[in-house]
Amino acid sequence: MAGIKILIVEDEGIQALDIQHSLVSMGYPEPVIAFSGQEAVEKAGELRPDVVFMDIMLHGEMDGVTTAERIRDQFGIPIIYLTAYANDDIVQRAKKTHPYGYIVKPFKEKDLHVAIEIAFYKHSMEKKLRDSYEWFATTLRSIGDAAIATDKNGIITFMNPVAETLTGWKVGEGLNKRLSDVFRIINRDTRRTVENPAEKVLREGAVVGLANHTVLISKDGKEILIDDSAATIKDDRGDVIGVILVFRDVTERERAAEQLQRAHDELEKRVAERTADLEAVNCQLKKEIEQRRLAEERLREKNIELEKANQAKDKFLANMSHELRTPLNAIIGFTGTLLMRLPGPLTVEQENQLRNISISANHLLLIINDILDLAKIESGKVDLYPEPISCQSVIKEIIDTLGHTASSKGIRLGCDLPGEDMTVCTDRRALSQILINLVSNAIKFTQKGEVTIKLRRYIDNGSNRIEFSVSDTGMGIREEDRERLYLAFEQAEQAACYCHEGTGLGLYLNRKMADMLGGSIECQSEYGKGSTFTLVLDERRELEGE
Amino acid sequence: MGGRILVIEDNPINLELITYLLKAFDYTVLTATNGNEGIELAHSQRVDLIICDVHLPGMDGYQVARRLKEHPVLGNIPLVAVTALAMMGDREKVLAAGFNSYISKPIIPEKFIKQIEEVMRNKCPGTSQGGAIY
Repeated sequence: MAGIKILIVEDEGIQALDIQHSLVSMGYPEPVIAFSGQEAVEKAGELRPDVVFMDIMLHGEMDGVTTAERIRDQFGIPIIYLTAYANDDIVQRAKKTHPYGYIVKPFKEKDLHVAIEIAFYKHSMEKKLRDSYEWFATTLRSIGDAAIATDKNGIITFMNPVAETLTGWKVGEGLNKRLSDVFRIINRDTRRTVENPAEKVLREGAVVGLANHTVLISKDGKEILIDDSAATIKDDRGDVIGVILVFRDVTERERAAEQLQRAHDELEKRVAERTADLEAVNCQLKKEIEQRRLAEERLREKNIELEKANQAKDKFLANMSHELRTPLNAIIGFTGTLLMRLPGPLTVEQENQLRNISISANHLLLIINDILDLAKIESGKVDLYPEPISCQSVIKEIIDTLGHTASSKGIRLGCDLPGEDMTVCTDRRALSQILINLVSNAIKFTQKGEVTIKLRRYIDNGSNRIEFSVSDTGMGIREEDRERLYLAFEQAEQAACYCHEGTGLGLYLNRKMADMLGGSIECQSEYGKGSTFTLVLDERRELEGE
Repeated sequence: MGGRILVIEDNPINLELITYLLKAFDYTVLTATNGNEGIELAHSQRVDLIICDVHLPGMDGYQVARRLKEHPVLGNIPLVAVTALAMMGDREKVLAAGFNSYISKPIIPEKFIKQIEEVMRNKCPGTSQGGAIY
């Protein structure tokens, strides 16, 4: 009771003092007295009493009920009416001002005390309740989600600003409306009305989440995708007294999720496509690898066949060479014994004819060798056997071999050799064959005069070179024909005109063999005067095939 | 000149040519038409020089050369190949098989006699040139 400030509104001074006296004697601080309604409102505003004793019958502009109304509305201070009489009309008016007590005069001190204590207690409880409600409402107002509360009949009792925005209903419009009128929801996909969650939660008594894809239709018809839940509000006895519905706009979230899903789907699609592509490529590759393997297999088989064919060819060439030389041995050999007059003397005619046989047989041998050697060289199967060879002795042997052929045409076959012995490290047979070809060509294309073999050594770029040259006084070769000299099966046009025998293989083969020996063949010629063919070899150098 | 020469050659015409030529130059000629016969003669007769073909029926010239050269006495008799194997590389193969000299067919009679004389004179391994140069 200590500290409760009291305002007494009473226009009769004695009564006011009497009440004041009674209260002080009960231990309350000395109450302030207002003698009119006007004064009461002013003092209430100024002093903020905890309780106001209000006489209903006040003189002046405002009576007690009006004054009480003002004070209650403006300051929220509890009012206790204090009156001498109470007719129904006054009681009815007073009731509307929610008084905290009603004391009829004359009263006892005890009545005052009880009325003050009850009013004070009730007021503070109500204040607590109001504070609690304000706290709750402020909380709901300040959250980012929309919140709507209803009573147990589904009538809206609260809406926060977000709920106003989403539903399009102002608080003033929405309050006391049925929730299903303000909160209209349908399924996004089926467009059917979805059961109102407040009704559902009231029926089931538990927290319920809204179904997915729920669309809220706002007051102006706008559709908003929402997501949320509803829960019951219970009183202290556990009875349901309402529903709180919380929801939020998930359009953006849903859009983002959809975009994410789309991106994800797109990615999956691409991955799938890419995987399919890769698989196709893989498959193709496998196929190609298999084809490649088969091709390689075939190639290997082909190679083996070729190798066999090559071996057969080599064997054939060797046999041909052998078989052709065997009868030539008898022809050249017996012609030789006859020319040596071993069996007896010869007439001039016999000798001439035997020489012709010999020359022809030797020529035939040359052709056979060219053809067979060429075949062997072309198949790349030539083994070289380099050895030191006396150049002079090779030249002398050639002169021995071809001397008769030259002299039978009336041509002198001579040589111009240096005094010092020259040795070259090369394949004997290849060297001999090149020189034989050059000399027999020279004889073939010379009608009169001479064929001369020369030998010299010189230094070129620091290496010793051996040069064999074969000069003739024959028809020579035209500039334009020289390019074709070394082609297989070609003879210069004028050679063909003169009907010279020969396969046309000689120079082609010579160049091939010279290449094999690491040497070169050059031709100098003056048409009508003669030609010189020159073979140049390194005196000593490693040969191919070594 | 003179001397005893064994000729191993299966081709009768070529055998006749060589025999005729050698006899004309006063050599005593022993003939065989296959390798075994030739080796037997070499064992049973005094021989100063052996001329041997390479292509022979049965035992070929390479085997004959190997057999003769393995023998402590017969191995010292000069052994000359007279052969129609005259492609590039043949000469080297023949000499590698143990022949002391190589003469390719067709032979040139005048030159052939000179080559044989030279081998007889040297009584030792040499690498006399072929009949025709190649």
